[in-house]
Amino acid sequence: MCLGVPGKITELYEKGGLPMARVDFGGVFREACMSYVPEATVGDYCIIHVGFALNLLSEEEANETMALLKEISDFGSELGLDAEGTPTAI
Amino acid sequence: MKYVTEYRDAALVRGVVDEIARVATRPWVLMEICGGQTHAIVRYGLDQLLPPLIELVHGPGCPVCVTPLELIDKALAIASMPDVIFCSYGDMLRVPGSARDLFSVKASGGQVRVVYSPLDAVEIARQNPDKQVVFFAIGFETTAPANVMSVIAARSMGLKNFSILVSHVRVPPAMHAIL
Repeated sequence: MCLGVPGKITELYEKGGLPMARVDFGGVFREACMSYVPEATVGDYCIIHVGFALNLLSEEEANETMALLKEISDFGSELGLDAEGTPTAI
Repeated sequence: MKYVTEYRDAALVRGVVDEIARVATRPWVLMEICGGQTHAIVRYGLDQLLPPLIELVHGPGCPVCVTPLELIDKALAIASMPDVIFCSYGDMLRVPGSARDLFSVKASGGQVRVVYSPLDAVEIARQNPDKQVVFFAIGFETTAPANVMSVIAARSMGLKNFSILVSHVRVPPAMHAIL
């Protein structure tokens, strides 16, 4: 649960009386509740934590975070680790 | 042993440590929030491997690791009740109570479900009107609003079988005490 991940809003809708969004996390899509970021529109980037958008990010901030995540993953593969940090050469 | 020996590869560790030393060009003070991280850092002596420019300050603990034992025991007692579906974030399943953990309650037949979002627990309550659904609402400032929204959603849906076991903690007072 101690994770906040940036994603891009691809669709906004209402479900059970709550504002919801379909969010793209680099190709993985999840549903998130937008109650705390009502100003969000399709195409905005936001941080998602336990299924809730916490705040909006600029595209630049989102890309910076995603680049950092990718850098960790790339550094891992230089060391022979896969994306989960598990050694690939056993 | 798979997934144990691979992590004890000195060459891999040296690669990471060398990279950290290469990029650490000025003093850094880093705080890890979670007690699980503190435990791992101290247990494996990671603090001694780091270059002297990097100082680690041990933080206040996260909602998972600072949940009081008494509350874990309450969760275990509730989760063991026959008409209850107990919903929790996955991190809590292996946190030990006095005698056991939620995972062992699940293994012995208790209805313990891992949810990604508090709203998933509300949906479980909607689908199971004959059960009491209890959500283990742990969290600090970032998670508490999400937990609370599950109550608002359950009320607006008219659900009578949804409740939460609350364990919210605040970070800033703990940070002030440490710093």
